Amino acid sequence: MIATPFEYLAPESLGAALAALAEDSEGTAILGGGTWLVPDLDSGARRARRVLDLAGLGLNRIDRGEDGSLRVGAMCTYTQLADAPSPLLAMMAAQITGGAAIRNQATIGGSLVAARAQSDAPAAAIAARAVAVLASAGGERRVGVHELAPRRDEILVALELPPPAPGNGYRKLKLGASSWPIATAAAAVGPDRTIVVLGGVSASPIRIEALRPEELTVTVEHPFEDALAPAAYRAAVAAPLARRALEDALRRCG
Amino acid sequence: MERRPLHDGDIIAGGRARYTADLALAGMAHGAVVRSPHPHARIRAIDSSKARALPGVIAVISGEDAVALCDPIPHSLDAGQLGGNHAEVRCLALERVRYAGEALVAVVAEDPGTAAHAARSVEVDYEPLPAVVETLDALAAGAPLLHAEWGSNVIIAGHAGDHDFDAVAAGHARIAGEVRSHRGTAAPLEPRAWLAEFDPAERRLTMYATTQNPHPLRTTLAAALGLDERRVRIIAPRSGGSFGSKMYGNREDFIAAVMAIAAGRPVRWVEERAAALLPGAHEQVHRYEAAFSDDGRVRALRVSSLSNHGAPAPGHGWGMALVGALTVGAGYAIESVGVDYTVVATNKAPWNGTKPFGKDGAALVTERVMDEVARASGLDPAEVRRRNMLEPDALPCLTPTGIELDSGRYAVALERALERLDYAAAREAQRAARARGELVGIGIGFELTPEGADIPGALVAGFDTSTVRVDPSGRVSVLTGVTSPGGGNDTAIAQLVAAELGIDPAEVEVVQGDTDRTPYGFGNISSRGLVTGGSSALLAAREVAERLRAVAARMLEAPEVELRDGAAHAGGRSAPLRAVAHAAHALGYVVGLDVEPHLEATRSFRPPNIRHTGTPQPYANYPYAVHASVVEVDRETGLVRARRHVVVHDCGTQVNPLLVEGQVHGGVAMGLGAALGEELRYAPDGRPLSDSFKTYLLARASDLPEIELEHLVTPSPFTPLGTKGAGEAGYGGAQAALLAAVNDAIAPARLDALPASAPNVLAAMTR
Repeated sequence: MIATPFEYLAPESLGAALAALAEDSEGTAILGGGTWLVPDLDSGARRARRVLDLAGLGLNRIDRGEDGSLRVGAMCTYTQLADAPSPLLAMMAAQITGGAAIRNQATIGGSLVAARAQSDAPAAAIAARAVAVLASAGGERRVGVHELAPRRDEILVALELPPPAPGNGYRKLKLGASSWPIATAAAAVGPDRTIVVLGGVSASPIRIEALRPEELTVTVEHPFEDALAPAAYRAAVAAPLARRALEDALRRCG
Repeated sequence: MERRPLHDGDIIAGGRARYTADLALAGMAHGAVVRSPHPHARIRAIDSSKARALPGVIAVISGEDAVALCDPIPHSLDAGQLGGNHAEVRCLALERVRYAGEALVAVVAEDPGTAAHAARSVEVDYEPLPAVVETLDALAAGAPLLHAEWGSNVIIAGHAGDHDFDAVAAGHARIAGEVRSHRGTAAPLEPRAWLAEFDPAERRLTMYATTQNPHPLRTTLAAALGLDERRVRIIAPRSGGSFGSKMYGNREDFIAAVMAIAAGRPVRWVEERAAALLPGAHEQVHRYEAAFSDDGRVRALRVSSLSNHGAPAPGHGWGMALVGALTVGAGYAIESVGVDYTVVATNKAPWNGTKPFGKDGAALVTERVMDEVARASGLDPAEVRRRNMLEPDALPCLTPTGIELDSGRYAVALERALERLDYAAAREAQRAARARGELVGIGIGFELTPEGADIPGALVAGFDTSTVRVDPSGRVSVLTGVTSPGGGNDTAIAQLVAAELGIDPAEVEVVQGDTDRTPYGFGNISSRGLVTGGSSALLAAREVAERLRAVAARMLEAPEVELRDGAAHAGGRSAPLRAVAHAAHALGYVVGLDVEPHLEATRSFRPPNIRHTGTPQPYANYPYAVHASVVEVDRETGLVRARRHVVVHDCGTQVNPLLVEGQVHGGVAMGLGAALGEELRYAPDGRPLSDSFKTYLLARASDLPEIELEHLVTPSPFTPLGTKGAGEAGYGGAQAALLAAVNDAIAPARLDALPASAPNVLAAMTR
């Protein structure tokens, strides 16, 4: 039960949304799919004077460029992503925990902005070399998802993805069907670059890049701990999981 | 009898069922409570002025305010009267809170949001006290005490069985060790909810409540609130799951009543999920020592079980430790069994009765002993069990702990399970997998579940009562003192009554859970719904059938009447049942003179093997099951994948095998889920960490293998149809089998503490 009253805004254009956000950026909570925000408001972990719903802004499109690049609207749901022509985002979305209610509701943008250590999306998006498009009343800026830290007056509107690498692998370790990820590993292998990104094992994703797969080494300096798994466990499973994702990616390279 | 789906299954599965939280009364207000964030603290002061000032707030009730309205909660099983310590527990905490989440202030407001806001606006000045969280820490010298007047944190300690271990064990080989089970909870999808209304003029309380035991709740509520029991009506609407968590003795039932009395309005209060996940169970440390002869026969078994109860509570929770102690070794031919049990108070949330009420602990430690004897003797684990199980002709048999097993074919069940698994082939496949570097394990778990308890002094009776009534229109009702937690005993009771009256079960309406309508009864508890409610309904139906036949004999002018297909048949003629029923009422002086008037009979069924003199026997029957589990363990991550799970289960005669299967499937899912990782975790400082279904991970269908279930039927000699309880089947044996399978997979490493979650298994493998 959300205990404190708030004002609910559902603007129908990005301009109107940004203007409303500029009025009270500190007191505003931006509502994507709501799968994080609503429980937080409900439990009292977060309070807001205003809730700004992005549902009316048309940010739920996936556009494919001729070169295979993608622009993914921030309000795209996991259900949409599961069919998207991005192997990493599609593999990630297909393994989302929580059933249809979550897959149809939760958004890629919301997940990236919430940036919970347990989230599925960040590692996959980083391995896909996604660039975040952030809008504010002052204009637009672009930043790699691995550096994403929106200001309070900004709205994440889209991700831009370069054409996918030839080989991709995504592995997720969780304790049961209802569990958040304990660790995720997203691997992309191209002719001249290999990247593995580990999610869930530390507060923010760990990027490991190398010229060749065999040069990758995995170390987790500050492993994350939560009610589901201790830090030592995350540290222990990071390397095997990265190896498995990489092996998948190499196999798909042919 | 007939496999028949739940009479209301389509309503439930179709989302059209109404539960307590769906009900409303005119003028209804909404409740919320303030819960302590501290595991242990003194309440210095409560300032509720801000909460009271909020528009829409109707009442704010502190623990002190509640003293005038409600006496201390009557204990349903008072350790203080059984050689342990008594704790006075009030509905809202007074002076001190002893676990994080304990309720200390209740709020009533016009809408749920305002109630929640008001609860968060109450300012409490706490003086945090040192908390004690772990079992052994609570027993250590100098530990902070929850009740200083006790001089320790022991709620109760006792012994079951003999003291002959040393004498019997002399000269035999021994094993010893420890196995721990973790804290879990019943976790029904429906949290507890109440809708209460108080009429101050007549001092009449009506309460819709998610309770398993409406009449005992009525008795205890009336006592604590100073009301006339006849003016308290408890209605238990359809249950969204209980598994013990809604047994009477919950303080929340009393808070709900106090809210309605203080507000002077009907009040609905629905517990939040985090609170629904507070009640605990299962958390035990078992230390065992066993002596065995060269042939693998266990001669003597000594167990010490420590239970982390959490804060003392007025419920039955601690009784799980006693029941577990009584059940250790049962079903095996062990000459000496002795179990010391100690129930320890800590600053966790209290234990609450939870399926399978302590018998899981007994299965865990007993099966661990069988596996360790196998390991030490070089015998196969199945062979060790085969050699130790009681032979069918050894029954009835008094176990060393003092329970009288009535009937059972344990070794037959074992053989059936091994056959279904194809044990030899499974072992061969295991060897092949190991040769490929894969970790595959096979585990066996035997469970024996004493059911149908009668607890002296508590409102937990081995008997229950049903009325069967036929209206002038021929409609048949059963009003029974047992309630259904959703397992379908109402459907099965309808089948039993319909068979006696020769009608379709769909024609029988079973009325449960309303203290103004049904005979006094004890609800659902100890897997006794069908044994007591079903048997009493059967006896009452036979009496009514006899009257119907007598009336029909006059109507049809033939002496031998048969009731079938909705009609009375005699001498080639027939009369519809509704005509007979109408005649019994309307032509009583014409066709009814041979029998007691009125087509209504009330009967109780009291299992004859329960007694409290001589060697006390608190249980009516002893269903059992043998489980076999096959698992794979991921060497690098410790993840356990359950591949197969075979169960051979025996609850005697089955009235409706479909419902029995539902019970066993549910129990196995709970037991495997517990073994794989459902866990109520606490931070070292005593804060609960598992407050949602994202942190308390229930097993989902895709986490579990197909449950391969077979039945044996060994009827009870003590019930009219030979039925035994089935409500707690599946959990203990499944949990034990899964742990055994994991340990078989990772041997020579060994996991001694559940759950077999990936982090724990990997740690055990790398230790």
